[in-house]
Amino acid sequence: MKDATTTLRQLEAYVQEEIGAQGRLLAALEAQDAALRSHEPERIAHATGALDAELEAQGNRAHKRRQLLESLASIWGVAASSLTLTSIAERAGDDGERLARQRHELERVTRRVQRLARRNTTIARFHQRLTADVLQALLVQDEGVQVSDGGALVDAEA
Amino acid sequence: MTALGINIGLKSLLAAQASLETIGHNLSNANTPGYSRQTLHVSTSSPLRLRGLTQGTGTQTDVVSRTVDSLLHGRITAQVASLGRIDARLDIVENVESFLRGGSDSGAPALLKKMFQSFASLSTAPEDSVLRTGAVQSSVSVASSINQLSTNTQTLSRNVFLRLETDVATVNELANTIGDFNRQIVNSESGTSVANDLRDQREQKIKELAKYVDVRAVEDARGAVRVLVGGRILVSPTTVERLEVGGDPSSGNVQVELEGEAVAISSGEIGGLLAIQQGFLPKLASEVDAFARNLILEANRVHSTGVPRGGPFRVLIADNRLQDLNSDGDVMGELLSAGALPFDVQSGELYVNVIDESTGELSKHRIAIDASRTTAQQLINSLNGIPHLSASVDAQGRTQIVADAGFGFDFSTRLDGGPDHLGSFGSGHASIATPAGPFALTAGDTLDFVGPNSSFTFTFQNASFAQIGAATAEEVAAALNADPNFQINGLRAGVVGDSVVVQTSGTGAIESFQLSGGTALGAFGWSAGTTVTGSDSDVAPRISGTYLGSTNDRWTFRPNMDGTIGTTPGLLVEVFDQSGTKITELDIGPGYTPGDEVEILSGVKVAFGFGDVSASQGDLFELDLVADSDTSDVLVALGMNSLFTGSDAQTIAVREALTNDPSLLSASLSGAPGDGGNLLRMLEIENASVSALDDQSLDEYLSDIVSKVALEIDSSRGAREAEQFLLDGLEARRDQVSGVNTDEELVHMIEQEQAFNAAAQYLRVVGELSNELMSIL
Repeated sequence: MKDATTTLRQLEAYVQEEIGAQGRLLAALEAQDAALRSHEPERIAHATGALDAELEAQGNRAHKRRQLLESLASIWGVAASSLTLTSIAERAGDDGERLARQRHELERVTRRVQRLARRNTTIARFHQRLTADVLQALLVQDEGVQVSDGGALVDAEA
Repeated sequence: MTALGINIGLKSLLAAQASLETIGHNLSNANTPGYSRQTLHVSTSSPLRLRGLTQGTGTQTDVVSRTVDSLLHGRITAQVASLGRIDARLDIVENVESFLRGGSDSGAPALLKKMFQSFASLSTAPEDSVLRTGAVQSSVSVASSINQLSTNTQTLSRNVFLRLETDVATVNELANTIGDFNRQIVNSESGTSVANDLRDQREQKIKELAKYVDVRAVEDARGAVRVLVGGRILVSPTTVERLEVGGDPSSGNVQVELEGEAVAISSGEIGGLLAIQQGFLPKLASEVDAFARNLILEANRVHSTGVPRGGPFRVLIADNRLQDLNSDGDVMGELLSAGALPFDVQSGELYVNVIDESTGELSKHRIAIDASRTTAQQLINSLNGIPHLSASVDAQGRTQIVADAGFGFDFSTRLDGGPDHLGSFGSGHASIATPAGPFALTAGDTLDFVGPNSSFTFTFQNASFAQIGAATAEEVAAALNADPNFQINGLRAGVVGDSVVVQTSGTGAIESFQLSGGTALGAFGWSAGTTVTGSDSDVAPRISGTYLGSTNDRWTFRPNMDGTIGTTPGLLVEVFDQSGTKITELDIGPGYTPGDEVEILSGVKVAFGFGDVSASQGDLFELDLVADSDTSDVLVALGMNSLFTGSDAQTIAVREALTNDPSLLSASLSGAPGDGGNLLRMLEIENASVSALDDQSLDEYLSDIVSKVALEIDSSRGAREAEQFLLDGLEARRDQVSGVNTDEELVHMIEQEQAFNAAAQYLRVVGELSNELMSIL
């Protein structure tokens, strides 16, 4: 079994990695924000593609984070769900000083990600609904039928 | 969320709304002519600096711009003008073709052919009154069809003028509209806003304007356009001028004016109409007139020298009137060639035949006409100088010729069947002739005669001659005939060509006289002591056939020796032309049977009766060979015995007297029953080349007018196709640049919707992950 210090160092490395990842995510969201404002589907799709790569890496990191928290919880004999970076830094005392700084930095960048993601979500949803409404008005003659219902393929050779 | 955040979100929403509105505007105007696709331009709004930080403020809509290519628009405008010109031209020319061709049987070319066909039919049975009426009627149809061509051309010209006025009114209306747009655009475009739709509509009006005129539009800095037509400003940023149609449509002198000055419009419908009005229609009218004029001239040349069914004329009154051009009150003093008549009189000759109705004897008289000298009075004098004819000009200026009772006259080319009128060639008269004059006499020269009743001396006096040293045969004969001794002794003097003939009035072997001496004998080539005796026989040469030569001539027949026809070996008759060149010899010696016809030349035959001829006593006779009885065209100019009256396409008509009485159609050359000789001459003009018609025949010229119009249509259609192709290409390029593709716009929207949807989905995941992350902080 690993000791607490080793696991703490691994946690610090993870947090540092997460700070970098959140920074990249923030940049991707900013690019997406610009793309959404341009209304250019290709640019929006490209920005969303960049976001996709970041999201995939974030999933791996979340798994790694959960493992580290479970290790520490086991060492300290507490429930993993009760651990936060703040409580870990406090428990670690002087050893947790770096982690405390990292937590602060991570919180700052994540909040920005959260805020920007919410804003982009609102814009994208609004645009999507507005466009869907216009398309509905232009393309669908019959009430109750949605554009997304699409059509039926017909085998012309049949 | 802060106020700034809300504002950023609002801006974004407004930008999205503007974008969708632009797309909706594009979609709803997808089929609007001249609409240019609009695009919303969005940019990042200026950042704010708050609490030492630079914060973005979201998005902003800058401008909705039109997607246009000005160069392409200019080319389309020019192309529309070019197409407008061709369309207008094609429309008019197709109209011309329809009335020029008429139906397959009713157009002028077809009717002209029918007219000549009816002449051909009549020539086989000149006495057939039905065919004769048909021939006159077919001539009436030709004249009417030419009148109709002229009327249609004039009507078309008036219609083109009216269309020009309508087009110019439309141009002025469009110019006003463009001027209104200028004001609206300048007023609307303050700051960054652009009046896209107004600009589209203005461009559309400029394009419409180009359909009528060649137009150039130049935009100024404030967004107003200057519209130039033919280099002149029609619409300025502040003013609008008016075009007007000026000139006289009947003369083809029509122009479009701006402030009283002509504008050079070469393209657009107005450019095409002007070209038609100034060039095509006057040229067509001039060609139709030229055809009509030359048809009248050629047909009348033939008809006036023919003979109607009733035979020679007793009275003939001209259709055209002599005019007192110099207003001196003396019509008779006018030169025939001075233009008072509808056709020119040339220097030439007019042959007049006078026929004794009781004997059928014809005498042919030649009147020389000098275009630069002969006056109406001189012509009348010459006609009056012909025995049994009297001529005058009535109060209306119409020339009138009347024959004495028992006589008739005509102007036909027929041959004189008995040309030895004087009896100077082997006749029963005691006759002696001189060689051709003039004669070198001096005053006081004498001729001594021994006549049956007395001997006498004739003395030549100065007073009898214009120039006694070059005395003419006419002067000598007149002087001799004036001597009473000639009457007493039954003698007379006559003229054959330039020779003087002295002979007894009576015939028979008992007739005789003697030239006993005198100082003038030498001048006449006679010898003293010559006894001239008559004969009981008369050779009386008879001419037959039709002269086929192309120029008028006068042949002189002289025997080569003294002898008896059909008996004396080596006896010949020598034939000399007008220049004195011997053109042939006729053997009338032992091999010749008196009375037999002998072919001379050019379709002319002669037969000699039995009798004696004498070279030593200067036997001779002359024969006029007439290919054209009126080389001066004086008959055509005066309108004597015309087929057609008038002088151009508008006035051509068949002579009223002919329509009333088709027997007046001069079908023959002699008036003899069955003679359709003049109709054969008439048929020749159908295909004869006419110098005034560029050496084309009447038929060719008329067909050429029709063909040229057909060719013009072909080439205009080809040009129209090419121009339309170019315009279609330019319009397609414009659609690519400026047009709205509905599918594209919708696909764009669908893609947008999908992209937004995908983004929202991802952002939801981002939010969830961020929340999870925040939960462990």
